[in-house]
Amino acid sequence: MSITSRSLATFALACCGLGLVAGCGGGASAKPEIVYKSSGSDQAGGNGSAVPVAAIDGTGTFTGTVQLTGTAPPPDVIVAKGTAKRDGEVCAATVAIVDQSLEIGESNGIANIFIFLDKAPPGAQVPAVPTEPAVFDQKGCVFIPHAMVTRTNQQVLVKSGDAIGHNTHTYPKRSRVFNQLIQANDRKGFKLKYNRAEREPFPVKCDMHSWMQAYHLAIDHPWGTTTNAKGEFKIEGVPATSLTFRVWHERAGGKGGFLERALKITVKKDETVTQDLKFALSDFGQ
Amino acid sequence: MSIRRHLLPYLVLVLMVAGCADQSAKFSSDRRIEELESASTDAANNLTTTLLEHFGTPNRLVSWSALPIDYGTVSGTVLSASGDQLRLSLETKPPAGLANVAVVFGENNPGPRLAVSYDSDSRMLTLAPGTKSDTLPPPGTRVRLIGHRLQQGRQSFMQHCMHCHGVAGDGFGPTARYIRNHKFNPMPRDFRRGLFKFTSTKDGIYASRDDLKRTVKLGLSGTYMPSFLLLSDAELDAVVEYVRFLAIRGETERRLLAHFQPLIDAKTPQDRQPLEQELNGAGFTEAFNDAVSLVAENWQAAEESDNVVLPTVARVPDGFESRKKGRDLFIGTKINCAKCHGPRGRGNGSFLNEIQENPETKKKYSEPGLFDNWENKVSPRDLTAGIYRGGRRPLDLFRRVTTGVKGTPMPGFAALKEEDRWHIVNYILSIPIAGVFPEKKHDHPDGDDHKADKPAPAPTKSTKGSGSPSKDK
Repeated sequence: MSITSRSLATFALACCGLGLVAGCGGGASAKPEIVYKSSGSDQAGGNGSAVPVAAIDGTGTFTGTVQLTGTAPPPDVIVAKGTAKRDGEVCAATVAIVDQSLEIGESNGIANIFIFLDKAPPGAQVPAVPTEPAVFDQKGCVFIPHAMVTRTNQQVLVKSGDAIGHNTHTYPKRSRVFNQLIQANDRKGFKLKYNRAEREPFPVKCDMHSWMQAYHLAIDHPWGTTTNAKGEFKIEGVPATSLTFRVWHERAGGKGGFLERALKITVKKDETVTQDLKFALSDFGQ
Repeated sequence: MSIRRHLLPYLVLVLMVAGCADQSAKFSSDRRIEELESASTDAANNLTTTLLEHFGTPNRLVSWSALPIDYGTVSGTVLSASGDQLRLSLETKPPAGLANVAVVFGENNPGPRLAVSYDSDSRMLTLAPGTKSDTLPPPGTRVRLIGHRLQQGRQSFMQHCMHCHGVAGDGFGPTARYIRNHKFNPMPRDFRRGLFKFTSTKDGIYASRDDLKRTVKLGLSGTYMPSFLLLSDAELDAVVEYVRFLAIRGETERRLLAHFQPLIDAKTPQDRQPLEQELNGAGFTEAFNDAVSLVAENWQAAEESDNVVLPTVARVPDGFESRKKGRDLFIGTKINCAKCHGPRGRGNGSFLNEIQENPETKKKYSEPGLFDNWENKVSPRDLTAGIYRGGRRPLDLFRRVTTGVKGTPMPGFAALKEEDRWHIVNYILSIPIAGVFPEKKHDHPDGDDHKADKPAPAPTKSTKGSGSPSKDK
């Protein structure tokens, strides 16, 4: 009995030894196979052979308002006037810092809503990138503007009107990340460029002041804007064709996203299309 | 009794057998793929198959020529061919024991085969048995043996790196969990964001091969990342290439998951259906091509010499004046270094008491402090220790001050004049030197420095033995 057990044990150990020597295959020591894949094999029939598209004749205007249905909640005060624990001589020194993540203005207009085309429609004449820089500023430890659309490769000047240092830290999904100090009272501005078009707006932060947050969107065409304090928007020179706009807000669904992924409108030459949109608090995760 | 006594060998036997059962190694996928699977099985399958087709598995790696990866190629000409054997004339000496690499003829015609072995004496290459339709190339055909570097990289990676960084480079290797939550230790890097903290490259640019090699070779001081100085140069290069391979694979996966995010977020089947059509149809191919070309471009840009941070002004001579200027900047509010690093540079600035929010997910962290893009808590470097993860040369610190630490709240200070950045470097390098700023006994041990931890006293000219590395005037 005991002999059998012992021999079994020996057998088992021998098996272990064998297993160790032979390896299980696929372990660290095994040589993986390398298979080759040519880059050409994928692109066949892809976007390479684009069918020529007829140019779109003329442009129109797209305008409207975005409003909240129901009663607007009072904005949260993040830092009451004169109570900032750090940099109190600058942050919230003259006005309180309020939560800008859902700004409701006059007649329930919702500010800072992004309305944009995902891509320029085929056949549209895309105007050149403006040589005029876009300005992104900060005052009293608040970013100005809170929501901003720029063109890809357009010069953005990050300025500061505060007597303390800030950093501007961007979180784009496609462009190069930027995280740089903006010197106190830098009125010339630090240069920033987004090198690729984004599909969605993305946050911009100051790590030194945790409440400081804004949203940028870089697109490779001019057909995108944000709503003003009254919830109004206007895009001029829109190609006269049927278009699908995206409507995005930082609080949509609670965590940020599209309020409307496919807002279909038809723009006619030299005419104005008006579209008023309404959203409820529940659309903002409340 | 006797059964009990001999239980161990049986157990081991069972374990050995069980351990060998699954030989199909896989790259573990991102956790969100499960969410995608419950939203749309088709989309999840599409994603998994596409990744498999273009990147393969750990035991069957794909060398896809669309990627900026040096898979390791030996080129030559076919001298003669018969059966599954080719006599070759190779231009460079292939690595010893060459096997299991891809064999590509001419411009990929006839189709690629797999090499089983190569005998450098007879110059005979044995191919894996082909199918009936496989033809052999005529003598004179160009031949490329592709993949020995990737293969070597994968072997070394599985030997030395996988334990922490994981098979797929996701930073979740078996050892990683024991590193997590150690107060002052960073998690193993998850390669899948294309983000590496310590680079010589400019703001927003990925890590160069040289950067990754430096990190592997020298390790990251003050962390669990050890130095692999004993690996051969060829092995280091291979590991770096494999890390880039995993990073590109992982980032492509992440980007495709982001592409499907609206589908994951959709609540009802009615919402899902149009999204599935939009995102999983032609939209998927476009998203895949876009992701791959974007990631490839980013890795290529990291190799461009224009994208390396190089000072145009020589280091300001270290000395009292320069250190003082650096210190004034450091503790001042104009650039706010002390807010994180503390007025004495002990990594205990007042910002650490604030609760931060992840700007990408909108989640507030449960504890105060600073967090990196991987949602790991990070501590601003304690500069009194004299341990610098990104390298201790003045040039390394200059780069850190210029571009910050990527993927963390530490910003770059390129807005400062280069001279000022050198002053800061000189000051930082002086902090750990004993005797310059004598420690006060009543120093607050940790936490908020604001009141307890006064700025270090200004350096004095009369300080003796300051250990200044260069000659003061």
